[in-house]
Amino acid sequence: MVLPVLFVKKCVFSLTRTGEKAYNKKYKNSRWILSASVRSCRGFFSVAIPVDVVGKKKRGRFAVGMACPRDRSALPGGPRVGRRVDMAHMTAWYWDRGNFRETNEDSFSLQRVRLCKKGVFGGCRKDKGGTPAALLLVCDGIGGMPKGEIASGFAAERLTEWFYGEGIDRMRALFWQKKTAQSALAAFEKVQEEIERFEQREKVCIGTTCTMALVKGLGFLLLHTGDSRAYLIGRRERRLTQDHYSGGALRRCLGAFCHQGPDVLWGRMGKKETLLLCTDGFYRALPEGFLKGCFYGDRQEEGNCYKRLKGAANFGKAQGEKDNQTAVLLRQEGRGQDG
Amino acid sequence: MAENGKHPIGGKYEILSRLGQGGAGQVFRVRDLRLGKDWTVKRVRQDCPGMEEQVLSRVDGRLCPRIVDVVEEEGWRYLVMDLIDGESLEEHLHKEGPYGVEEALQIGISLCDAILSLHRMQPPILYLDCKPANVMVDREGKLWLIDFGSAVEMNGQQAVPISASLGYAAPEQMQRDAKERRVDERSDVFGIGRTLYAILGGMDPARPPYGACRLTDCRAEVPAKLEKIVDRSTRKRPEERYQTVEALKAELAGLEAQNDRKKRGWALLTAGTWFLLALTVWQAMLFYAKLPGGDPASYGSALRAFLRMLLCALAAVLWQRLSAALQKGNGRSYEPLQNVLRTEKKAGRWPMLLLFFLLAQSLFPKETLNAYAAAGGQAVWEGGKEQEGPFAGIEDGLLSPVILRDARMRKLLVKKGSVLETQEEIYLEIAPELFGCEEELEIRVDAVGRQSGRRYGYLLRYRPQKGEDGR
Repeated sequence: MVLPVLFVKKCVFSLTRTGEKAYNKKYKNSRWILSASVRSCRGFFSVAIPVDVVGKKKRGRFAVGMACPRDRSALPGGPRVGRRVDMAHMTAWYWDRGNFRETNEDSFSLQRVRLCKKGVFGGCRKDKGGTPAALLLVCDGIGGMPKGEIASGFAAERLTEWFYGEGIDRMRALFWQKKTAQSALAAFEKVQEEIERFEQREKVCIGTTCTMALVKGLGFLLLHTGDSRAYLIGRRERRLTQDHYSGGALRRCLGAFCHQGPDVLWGRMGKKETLLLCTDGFYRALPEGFLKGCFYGDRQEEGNCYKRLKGAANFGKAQGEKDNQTAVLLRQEGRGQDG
Repeated sequence: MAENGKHPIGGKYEILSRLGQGGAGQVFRVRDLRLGKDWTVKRVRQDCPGMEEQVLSRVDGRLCPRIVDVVEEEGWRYLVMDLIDGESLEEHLHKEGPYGVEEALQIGISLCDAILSLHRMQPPILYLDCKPANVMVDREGKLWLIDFGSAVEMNGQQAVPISASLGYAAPEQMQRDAKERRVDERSDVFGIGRTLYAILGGMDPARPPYGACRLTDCRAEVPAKLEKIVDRSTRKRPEERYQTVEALKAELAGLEAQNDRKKRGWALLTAGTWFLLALTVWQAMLFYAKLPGGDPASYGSALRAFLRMLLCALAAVLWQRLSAALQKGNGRSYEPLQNVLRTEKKAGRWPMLLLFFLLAQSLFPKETLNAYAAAGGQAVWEGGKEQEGPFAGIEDGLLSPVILRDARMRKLLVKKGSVLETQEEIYLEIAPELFGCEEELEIRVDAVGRQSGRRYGYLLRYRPQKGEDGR
C-alpha cells in the first residue's frame, strides 16, 4: 500500500547489490537494485527496481514498502521491501516456593496478545502483522489468618479478567496510556472493595502487594503498590518503582488497612531492554548490577532468559533467602516470529 | 478401603481402573463378579450432601446412566451405574481441538433436550453442572449427561445450589452470601451457553481469559448469530438470558435450519455472478471479432465494451469478497498468544476460604489459649497447649489474630523476622470471640530484650461478657 508522501524531508537514490535472500524469488536473478528512499513526516518510503545493468531496466516490476519511522530496514539495500517489520515480545517467568515455605503466597500472571489490524471487509490481516501487547503482573500475599495466596491469587485473577474484558480494548487506541491507566485504577479499586467486603464478612485480615505492567509495542504502563519491584534493564539497571515500605512495616498494599491508590508511571522501552517484575524474595539478596549482568547483552533466546532467572533465584537462595521467589520478564525482539 | 481390586466393593464389584475425579468423589470402572459385566462406580463420602442417587433413580435412562446399586462400607458410599463407552467433550477438546459449528449446534440442541427433560419432571430437577467434562458422547454419537452431584430439586420458583464449577456455574450459583444463592432454570441456560463457548472456542472459561474473549475474536468461523446466542445465554443477570432452556433450543434449531438455507443461497448467488461475468466476456469477444480494422468509431465502442467487462469483473470479485467476509462474521480484533497464571489459591475462590475458616474454628478446643508475641511483631498460637517459655513451639504455629496497631490505631503489617522501629506506643489487639470460651481467661504477654536478654512479662485476666460473642 502506498501512502501519499507529505513534506518530503530527504530523498536518497542508490544503486546496491543484493543477495538472493534479500528479496523474494521474483528477483533472485537480479544482481543490482536501483532504489530510492524518501523520508517524510510519515516515515520512510522506499522503492526498489531491479535492473540488469546500471541504467537499463530489466523488468517493469517494482516493490514499494513503508516502514516504521525508526526502522532502518527499508533504507536502500535493506530487505523486507513490501512487508511491514513485525515486533515481537519474548517472555520468561520464574515462580518458586523457596526452600522454607510451605506454600507459595506469590501469584503472577503473564498474558500476551496480538492486536490485529482489520481488513477492508473485516477479518484479521494476519500477514500484515499487528502490535504485540502484554500484561505482566506479580502479587505477593502478606499477613493475616488465612494464607496469603488467597489475596494474591484473587488480585491476579481479577486483574487478568480486567485485561481481557476492558484492558485490551483500551490499549487499542493510539494514545492508550492515560485511558488505560484510568481503567486500571478503577479495576484496582474494585479489587480493593472486594477484599474489604470479604474481610468484613469473614473477620480476617489479608492483603497483597501488586505490581502490574501493560506493554504495547515499545510503550509500557506501570501500576504499583507494595514492595514488589519493576526494573528496566538495559545499559543501566533502572528501578522503576519505589518500595512502599518503611520502618519495618509495609505502608501500602491491596487490602483493607493500608490501601492508597497505586503509583502510576509510563515509559518506553528500548529494543534491547528488558522489563522485569519481581517480588521481594527474588530481588532482596541480589547485589546492585546483578540483574544487568544477567539480562543485558546480545540477542537472548527465550530458554536462556529462563535459565538466567533461575540462576538469579538460586543465587538468592544461596545468600540465605527464605521467601517465595517470583519474577516475570519481557523483552522486545526487533523482528521475527512470535514464540 | 476397596481399591485396586484388593477388596471387591460390597464383595461384588472388582475395581479395574480409575476413570477420573469428580467434584465430590472418584470414579472407577468395575467388573461385576457375578454377571461378568462392567459398570461405573462413583465413590463419595457417606456424609456428603447431595441427592445424586435420588435424582438418578428418577431420571430417564436415555439421558444419563442408570443407577443399579448402592453400597455403603467403611465410611464411603459407592454408586454403581451404567458404563458409557465413549469420551467426554473435554477429552475430545484435548485431542482434536474445538468442534465445528454444525457439530456444536447439534451438541447444543441435544444438551437442551436432555436438560429440558429434567426441568419437565415433577418436581423439576436442575442439573447445575453442565460442562464439557460432564457430557459424554458414546460410540453411536448419543449424548449422555453424567455426574448429578450438583443436581437439586426445585421446590417452588427457585432452589438452593450445593456446589458449583468455576467458569461454568452461573453468577447466582457462585454467590458468597448463602441468602443470595438461588438458582432456577436460567442457571442451566448459563451452563449450556458456557459449554457451547468452550467447545466452539476451545478455551476453558475457568482459565484466562475467563470467557472474556468473544467467540468471533478467537475463532473467525463462528457465525455472528451463534455468537449472539452464546452471549445472551451467558449474561450475568438471569433476566437478560433466555428464560427457559426451550427458548434457547428454539434459537439453536432455527440457526441450524438457517445455515442450511444460507449455504444454498450463497452458492446460487456466486454461481450467478460468475455466469454473468462469463457472459460479458463472451459478448466482448464476439464484438471484437466483428471489428473492422482502422475505424475510429469502432475503437470507441470496443473501449466501452472493454470498460463494461472490467466493471463486471470488479463487481464480481468485490461481491464475492464481501459475501465471504459477511459469512465469516466480524473477524478477530486480537489474537491470544500466551496465557500463564500461577497461584496456589485454590479454585472456587471464597467458598473454599470459608470452608478453611470454619475448619480452623473447629480445630481449637475450648481451653485456655496461649498467645505469644514473637520477635518482629508476628504472634503465633498453639491451640490448647501449655508451652514452656515464651517462644516454644512458635515455628509451626498458625498466625493468630493478634493485630498490631500504631498510636493512631492504624494496623501495621510487619514482616516475620524484621524489626519494627517505632517511638510510639504499639497496641496489640486480640479479638475475644475467637477464643470461644465462656470462662475467665488468662492472657500472658512476654517480651525479651534482644541485647540484654531481660524478660518483661504482663498478665491480664479476661472474662468474656454476655453479648460480646454474639449471644
